[in-house]
Amino acid sequence: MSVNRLTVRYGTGCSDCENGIGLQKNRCPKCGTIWALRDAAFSLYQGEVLGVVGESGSGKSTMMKCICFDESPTLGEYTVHTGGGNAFQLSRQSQKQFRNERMGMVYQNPMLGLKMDYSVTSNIAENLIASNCKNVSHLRARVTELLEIVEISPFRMKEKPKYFSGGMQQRVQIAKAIANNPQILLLDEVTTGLDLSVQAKVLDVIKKIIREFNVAVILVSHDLAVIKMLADRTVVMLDGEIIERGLTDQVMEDPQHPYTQQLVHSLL
Amino acid sequence: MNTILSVKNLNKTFRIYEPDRTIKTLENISFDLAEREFLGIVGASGSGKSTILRCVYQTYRVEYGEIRYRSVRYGNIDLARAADREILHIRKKEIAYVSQFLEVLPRITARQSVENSALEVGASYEEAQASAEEMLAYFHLPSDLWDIYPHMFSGGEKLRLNLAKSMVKKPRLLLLDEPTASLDADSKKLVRGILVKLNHEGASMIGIFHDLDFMDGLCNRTLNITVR
Repeated sequence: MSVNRLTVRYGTGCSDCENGIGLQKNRCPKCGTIWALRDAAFSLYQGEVLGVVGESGSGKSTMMKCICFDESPTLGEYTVHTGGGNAFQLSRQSQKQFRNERMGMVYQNPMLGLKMDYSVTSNIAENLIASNCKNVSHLRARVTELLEIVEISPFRMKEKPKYFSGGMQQRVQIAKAIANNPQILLLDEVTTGLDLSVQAKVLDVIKKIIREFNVAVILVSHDLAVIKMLADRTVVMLDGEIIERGLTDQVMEDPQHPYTQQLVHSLL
Repeated sequence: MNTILSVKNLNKTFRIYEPDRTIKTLENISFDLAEREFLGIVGASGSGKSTILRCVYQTYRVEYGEIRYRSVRYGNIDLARAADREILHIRKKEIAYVSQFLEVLPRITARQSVENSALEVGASYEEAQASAEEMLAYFHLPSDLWDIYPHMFSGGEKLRLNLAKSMVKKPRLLLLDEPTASLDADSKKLVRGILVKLNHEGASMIGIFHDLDFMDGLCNRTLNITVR
């Protein structure tokens, strides 16, 4: 997949800020428009992991939301390998279908990705049903298989995720995200706020999925250690723009932009 | 003999913003490496030996100069201008970089980490298993350590694991950045043995060693870098 000239702005914009003149960080002092994303472009190949780093407010999550159609960008082209054409211009219906069948999304906050009052099974089966798998025994078999991948005992498949720990909820989200064998997996700060051993468990599961399923992954994190461990390539964002990109070890060991240097030098 | 790597007028400057400094590390470095040749790089510390290897491996970006590499997949390619994907592929299958530091993923056992390396080059799972065991045994890593996470290994054990990880790929071009720095004499002999073996099997190598005795008779040629 590839994304080009992706721009999201909140506000009307004026002649100054549309040409990038006089912006204070990503806000135009003249008309008050916020440029959450500006001309972001990147591509991603099958089996590859792209890391996205940047401080909060740099546009990481906005970019992810656009990619999974949670938000419509002001401008931009989004080409996906099999589709052709600009996916941002598809109908809501087709976008939804595309997301169900080809994409998996794991949110930082499990509340966004899971329905806490429904059982683990119905959460995971949701996307399967949406893409027309209606046979109950097939569904149950698939859910069991997925729970094994994310290392949750199938005995707990009837429980509600609200009684699960944070790390387990994340793993249920991952099981749900990979249910349809997606081509693209979006992971938004999946390990943030988890304690170290639980974080390790979640990362183990992610590593396993990357290795075995040849999926393209976008990994948003402000934890450079996680990025270093998993990402093949990395882009660095600041104030809504991608300011640096390269192989992960290039970005970490030979950072070019002042902000990236500051970021890398803060790594413990 | 065919040239596998040809470096022309390589320049590398580091621009640091905080504090504001520009550090010129390499200036107009040129050399050729023939297939099956073993080139040793010597020079005082700080002269830029490692920087050369890291530029070839593309951990460092190159601003001026060419690094022409004859790849199996891409033919004659300038690594300094190659796309990220091409570099990733070449790193997986053709060029290996070994330093004295072990970088392993957490919660991966020694055995798994060598197996994963073998899998990257396209071995089947059974082949990977067999060659991983062969490599671990070759480097005299005690078999009761194979299924342990390498965090708790001694310096020498980590280093040998590191070598096993790279050697299992049987790379075409091997970049060695002082891989024997903290090894005892016996382990050095082992490393030397496998380097000779890989070299005979057709691998080309560039190495940095502090130990001049180690280099003696191993390298076909040396390149002397002077401190700028």
